[in-house]
Amino acid sequence: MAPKVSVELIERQASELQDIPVSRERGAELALEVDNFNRDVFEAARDRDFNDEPTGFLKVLLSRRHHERTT
Amino acid sequence: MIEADEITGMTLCDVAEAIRSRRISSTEVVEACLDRIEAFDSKINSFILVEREDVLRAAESADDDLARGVVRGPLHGVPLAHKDLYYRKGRVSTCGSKIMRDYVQNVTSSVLARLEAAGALYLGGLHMSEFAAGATGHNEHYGNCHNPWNTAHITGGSSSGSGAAVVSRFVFGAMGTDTGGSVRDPASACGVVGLRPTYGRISRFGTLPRSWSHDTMGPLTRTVRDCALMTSTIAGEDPNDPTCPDIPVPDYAAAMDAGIRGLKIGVPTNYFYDDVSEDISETLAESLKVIERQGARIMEVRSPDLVPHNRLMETISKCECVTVHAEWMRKRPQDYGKQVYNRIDAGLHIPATRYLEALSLRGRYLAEFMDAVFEEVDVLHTPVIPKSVPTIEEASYHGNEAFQQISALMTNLTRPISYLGLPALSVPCGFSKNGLPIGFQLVGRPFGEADLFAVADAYQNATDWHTASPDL
Repeated sequence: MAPKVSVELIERQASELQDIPVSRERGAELALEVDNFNRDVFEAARDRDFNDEPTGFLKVLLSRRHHERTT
Repeated sequence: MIEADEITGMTLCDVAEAIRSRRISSTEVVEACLDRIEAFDSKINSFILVEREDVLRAAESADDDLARGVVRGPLHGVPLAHKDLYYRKGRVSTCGSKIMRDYVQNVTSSVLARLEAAGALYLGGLHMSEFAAGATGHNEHYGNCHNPWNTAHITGGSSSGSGAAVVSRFVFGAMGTDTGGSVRDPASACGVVGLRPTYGRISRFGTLPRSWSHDTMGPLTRTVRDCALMTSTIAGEDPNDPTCPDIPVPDYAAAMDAGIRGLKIGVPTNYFYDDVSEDISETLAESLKVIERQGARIMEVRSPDLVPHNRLMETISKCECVTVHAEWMRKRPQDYGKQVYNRIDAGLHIPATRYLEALSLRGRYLAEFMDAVFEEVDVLHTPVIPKSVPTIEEASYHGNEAFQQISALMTNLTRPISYLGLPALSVPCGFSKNGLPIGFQLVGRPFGEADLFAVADAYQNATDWHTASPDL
């Protein structure tokens, strides 16, 4: 299970890493939103194989492309 | 003498043929469009800018060429208008924003260059959600775009003006862009045809990025034949966009002429109908009967669970979008609409590891989807928007949670297809209880647009939903 994202983390990241400060109210909304994304991808990533990488997508897209009907 | 309403009511294919054969001049066509925009667009707000003088001069030039026997291409003299994020060298593309309101571009998009080479004229820049970051057609800087079927309702977005202008008969076709559903949603909500092509089928060069990994350029038109004509004009390899490979563009007209006998159409037994209202479900069932009567075989098919795909797509999209905007968000946060700023700022806080995990799963998930769906059927048939098109007020920003629900309503059935990079076509097929259009979505194999056009064309040959026109 992914760890929980806190408002404090969002606030610190916003000011210390991104230089785009957030209000306390927006920080709370973002903590919830980011926590959901983080958890969902964290869980999905359990499906990853050691060799999965971003260019694998284009490889599949091209290799499995449609071939025109011959009839 | 052809009446102005008759001109603007023509399809793209028909008006192009009428100009080419000199039954009507390009100038007459442009004037008819401009008059209609002048008369009715104040209610719809589909244009950000109409380039009246420029397009009239271009029409005169097109007519002069024809008089000398010069035909520039299949779209000779036909006025089109496009989502205002297709760059033109030396001109402003606002991208629906305050920030780029005066920003002069130094390149011309490959799509516009190819349309111009085919003879098309540029009539104006169309309304869009600010920075293409919105699924409803709201815009704090240029006003909201109104659905021509009922102006209290949204058009869908982010190619809001493209859907609204085409169904309003202001232009014969319009380019939009589709990252998570931004062509398919307005096409469905406005009652026109809209293509999200395979990722890499049409060059992205010279357009505002929203999410590089998902961005596609797609036409919105009244008929499938029109959509195929625009697609064949702009598709194909482009050295300026290395994601566009050298894969030949098929003869879409021949594919449509071949019919759909024996083609296997899949109806999903999971995910896509989980939250669909009864009237939309019934309308889609009717559309399947029509397609079956045209000779296709209708089969049930089970896709992998697409909930993760939806979330992974959104994760990538937010991270890439905020990368484009971070510097402006530091310097000019006050110049973003709240709805747009709050749609993208989560990307600042998602770890890079999650972003790369989401990207690295894409190939695996595409292969799984291909095995589960396209080993069984040729084309998948699904809803586009699961419920009736909401009103502008319902879809306005009423806090983060409500906003996310509206966003989910508009994109849950389109985003997973974007994540997979597959082509998808939205086709009008009726009206819901509230009088707003309904569309179905056809999804195909990578670079399989020809099959989508064939199925949708067969459907339009047997129905007349695509000829319906709102009473402006």
